[in-house]
Amino acid sequence: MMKKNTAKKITGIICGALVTVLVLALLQRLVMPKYMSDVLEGGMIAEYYDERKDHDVVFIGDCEVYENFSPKVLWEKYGINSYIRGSAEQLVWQSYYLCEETLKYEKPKAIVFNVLAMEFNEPQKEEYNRMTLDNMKWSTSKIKSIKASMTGKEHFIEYVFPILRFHSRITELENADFYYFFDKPDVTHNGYYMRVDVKPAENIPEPRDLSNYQFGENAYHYLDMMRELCEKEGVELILIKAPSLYPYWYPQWDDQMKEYADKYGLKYYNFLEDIDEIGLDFSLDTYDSGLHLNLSGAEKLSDYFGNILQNECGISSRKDDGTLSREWEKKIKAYNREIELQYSRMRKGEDVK
Amino acid sequence: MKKRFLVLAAAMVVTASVVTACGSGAAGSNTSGNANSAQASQQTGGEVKTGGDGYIFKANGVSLSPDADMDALKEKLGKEKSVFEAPSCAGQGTAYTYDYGSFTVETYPAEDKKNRIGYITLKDDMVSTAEGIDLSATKDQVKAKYGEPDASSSDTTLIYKKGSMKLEFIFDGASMKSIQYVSSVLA
Repeated sequence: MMKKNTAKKITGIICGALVTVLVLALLQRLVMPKYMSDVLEGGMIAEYYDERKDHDVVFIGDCEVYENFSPKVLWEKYGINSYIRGSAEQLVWQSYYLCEETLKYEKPKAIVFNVLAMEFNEPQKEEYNRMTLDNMKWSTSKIKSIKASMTGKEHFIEYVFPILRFHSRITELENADFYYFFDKPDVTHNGYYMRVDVKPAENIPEPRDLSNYQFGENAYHYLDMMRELCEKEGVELILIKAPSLYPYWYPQWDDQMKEYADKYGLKYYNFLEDIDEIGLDFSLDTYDSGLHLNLSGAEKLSDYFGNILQNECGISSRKDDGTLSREWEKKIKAYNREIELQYSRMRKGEDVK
Repeated sequence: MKKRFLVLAAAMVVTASVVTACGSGAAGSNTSGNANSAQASQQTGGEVKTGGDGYIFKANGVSLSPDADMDALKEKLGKEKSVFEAPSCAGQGTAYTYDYGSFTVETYPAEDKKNRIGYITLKDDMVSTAEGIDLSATKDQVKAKYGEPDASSSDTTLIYKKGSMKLEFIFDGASMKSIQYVSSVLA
């Protein structure tokens, strides 16, 4: 009888504990930002996990990759299957760990890294850290990335249990928190964040002199790690600087990247030097005064880079892969639907996103 | 059985309350008004710098300092030659560059949602620091006025730290290229 009572008590405690954990897990899911209203960029990292991981090229980096390159064009014109693992203000160590994680899933022919992030040598802002880290799947790469990224005010435990950080949102919940509780639609097209609107580049300020143009040791350390990892895995690392006009890319920074690429035999393309060849017109091809390209700009740049990837990097067309072609047919339909949707919103005077 | 269920339910409610109620504490003290972009906007939890504790630049009778609220000073400063808007990635506010000809003011979106000054750059010798140094000054003249520079200075830059800002005199060889007032938030 006593044994039966003890067993009942233990069962009760276990059930209680399980229910409490379940409630906390549901609460955590509820209060976690869904990034589905005005800041869509926070959800991008998660979208990669649903992809079939069979890409020829994976882009890694900050907004200068996810807003400036269209994988749809790379596929349509060159048969290159690509994906962009981009996030807002992605720092070099975050790019490294995303690269490390990507190479656990697949072995693309090339990893393309945008070098603007080299300007940062230390952790910057928790808001941006969260957008890159919260939606990574748990792995040693994520753990190391969190540790490398935390500012002095952040705590590792709050990444493990985000409810500890976001609990105060319980009083600020929006419809989106309930609507997207279980599932969220993709906000990108293979990582590309589309914008069809136009805001010409005007009054771009002259660059401010810097007291020191030297990239930091920490930034170089992670770039070295990325280069060594790609070398070990037999994946070509290609360095690029997207043709965004602002923030300013200093010649002194460019020299350092050229020197680095020369030293290690890497390809480095600074597309700011090729604006005319690409055909970019910054009165038409940007939606935010030259910081990022809009759809027409991104498609021009992707066409230009696709030609380089095919002819200089030897990445051949896979248009004869039936399964892949069928996947892309669906993706292109979704891409075209979003173009129509954004133009329709523009015509109504609404925000396109 | 019913009693056990009630105890369990009470435990759940208490747990949920404890977790959510402490939202008014540290992490919640800087909550963004917008829940979706809270995201993490609520987080950084650091104090907001408001400036005025370091070197000050005076223009048109207005005192400007890093971290001061630019929106409160714009009107007094007069019409700028141009303004450049740079929205931060992922809706983290907008930074502006105001060009007044001889000097520019660059701002950053602060945690308190104000448009705070990040950099003031003196670009020609029509303007000078409040201590009387302009771009025609030599390194020796700067040192005579401000004393020995901070250890972080280099061959090309003399740096003076004061309060939560620093003042930089940037040289190209013997001639000065620019003078910058820099917020520690951005440095």
